[in-house]
Amino acid sequence: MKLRYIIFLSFFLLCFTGCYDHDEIDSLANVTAVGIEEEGFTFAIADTGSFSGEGDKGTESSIICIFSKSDNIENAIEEANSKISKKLSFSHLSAIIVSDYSAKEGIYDTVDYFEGMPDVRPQVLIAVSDIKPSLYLENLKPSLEVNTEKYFLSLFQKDSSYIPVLKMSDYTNSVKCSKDVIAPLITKTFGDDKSDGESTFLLGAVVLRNGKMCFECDDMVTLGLLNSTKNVVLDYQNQKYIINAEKAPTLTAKLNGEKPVVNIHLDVSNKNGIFTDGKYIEERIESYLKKVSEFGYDIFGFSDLLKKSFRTIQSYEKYNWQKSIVNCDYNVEVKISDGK
Amino acid sequence: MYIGEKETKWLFVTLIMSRVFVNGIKIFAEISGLLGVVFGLLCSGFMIFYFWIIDKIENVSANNFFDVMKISYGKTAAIFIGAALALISLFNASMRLKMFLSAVTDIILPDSPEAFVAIFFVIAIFAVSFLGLESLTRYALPTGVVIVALVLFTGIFNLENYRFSNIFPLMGNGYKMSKNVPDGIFLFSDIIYLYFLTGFFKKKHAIKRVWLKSVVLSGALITVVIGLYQLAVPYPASIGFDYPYFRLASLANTSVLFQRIDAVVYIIWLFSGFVSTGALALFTMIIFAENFDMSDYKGIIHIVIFLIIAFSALDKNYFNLLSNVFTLAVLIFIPVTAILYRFKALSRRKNNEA
Repeated sequence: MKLRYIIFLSFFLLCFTGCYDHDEIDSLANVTAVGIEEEGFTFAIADTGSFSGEGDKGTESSIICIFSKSDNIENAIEEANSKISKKLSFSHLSAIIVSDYSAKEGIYDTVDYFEGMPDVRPQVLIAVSDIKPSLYLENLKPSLEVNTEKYFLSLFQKDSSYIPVLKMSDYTNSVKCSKDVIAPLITKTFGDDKSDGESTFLLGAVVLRNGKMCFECDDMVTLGLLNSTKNVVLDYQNQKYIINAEKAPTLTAKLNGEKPVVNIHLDVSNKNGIFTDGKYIEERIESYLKKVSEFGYDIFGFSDLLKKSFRTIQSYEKYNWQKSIVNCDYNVEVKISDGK
Repeated sequence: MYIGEKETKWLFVTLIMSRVFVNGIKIFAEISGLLGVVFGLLCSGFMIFYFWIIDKIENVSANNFFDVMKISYGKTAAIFIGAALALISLFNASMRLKMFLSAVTDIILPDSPEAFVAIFFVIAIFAVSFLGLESLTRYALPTGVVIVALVLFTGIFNLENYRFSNIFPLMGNGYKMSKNVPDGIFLFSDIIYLYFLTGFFKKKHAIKRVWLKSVVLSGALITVVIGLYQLAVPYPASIGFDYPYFRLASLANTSVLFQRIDAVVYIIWLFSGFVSTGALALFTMIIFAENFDMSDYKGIIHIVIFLIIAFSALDKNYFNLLSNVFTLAVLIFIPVTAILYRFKALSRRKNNEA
């Protein structure tokens, strides 16, 4: 009987399999953001020593940036590790900031490398910066949110205002599935003021096809209304209105002969009840969709809707959606309510 | 010493699901679309049909399968066939060990050598062998229940990632289904071991219920997992992951508390790996002992473990080939035995009447 107990207890030994290549927490440098630019890579490491307060409300947060001049991420990590006293850990990575130059050249290899790391989460956000990411990250000094990992997540995933979001998993899926995705285009102001350190500005969105930036979207109203139920600011006759889609738009797509037709029904809520020109939004969305599809881009994923019209993947691929979208017709119907 | 029906059912669910957690559902993702999900149901349906057919030919499930073999092939031939079955089972256990060693070193312990991880699997096999089948089935019951809970939670925490458009076109890669039929069926192949455990049940007909319940339950779980994976990861990106279930788990991001569900998956999956590798090694010993009328298999534990480790050094590609050949051989062998048994039993009856 004693032997049985010993054998049973030896089962608990199995829990120690993870001890072989363990890293102590104080020997790790937690990278919260990575910058990708033409000259190399920037690793933004959370300076945990600067957390002087409790929880999220510390007095000051700082990011230590390590720049690595290298043409691929693997070498860059190696070089950065040799420069600092701790080992880079990417388990808290929350954002990848890409320069517009690198975004145009393509960042798939780098993102795919991170995707292959078991400790990196697929929810890591990707944003394109119109200034060099090294400059952006070095000047970023969040004061309202000392946890830099949380700073990026809160910045891009606001509950109220619409900001285009691109997750790492969506990016890699888009390359594998030959689909178009949008990423936020951001910038930053520089100065000694605390607000300068905290703020990041959204300039718009960019379209990525096959992992490369190929188009800039300027109509955030259309993007916001069709992609989310969050607030967007509408400039109309020199007035600013805050509107939002009450619920996700009802989308249907069918084939009229060889020509795709997309029908969109949208319930727009206008919280202060002043904006009533639904026709204007209809025309704006319709003309923007036409403009984007003339370039052959499908940024709202209408191709997914059209898949229902095909029985097999082979017949869908034969149809060649990317060529057909150029002739796509859109019927947009907008209903405005006062949101009460 | 007898084993309980409920416990054995969960042991086989654990055995089947342990493969699903590694890379088992990749074949269904390849078919893609709604057809991929339906294919999961069809494969489990086939295994139920398979059992029903054999049972219709002759009620071999009610007898000790080794006695059935002796009547079907004669004593001497049965011993050789039994030895071949033990060898196949040995390879199967090695394959399972190899599968888990590769997966563990790929995703959990990338810097450690396979030999280090193998030590823990050897401990698991030793523990399972000494504790015996009864203790193993008792241990499998909570493991199985936790697996069900894991699938359920993975499904719930991934709600925001589901896109219904991913199941279209409905027929997906329809033509790939024919290519993947054997692999889909082989996913359930561990259930065949039930035939060799007939002697461990108090009621001889229990195997029918255990077979049916295990296949239905694991079939339902597999179908759910395929469905969730298809909804969360679009085709063809879905076939690019070596460990689909981990992908599904790592996508879960419901709240701060549950954002690292993949870590929970590691633990449960690892334990299902220990249980399944230990179980297959134990089944090998049981087959060997029953075949050679040994009163106890404990004397061969160290030899079996040594051989399992030695075979696991084989190349991965050989394993895939051997796995399919062996499973097919056993799948054909059982109905052939049943047919022969029926004829022999009939002729015996006639002789007795004469």
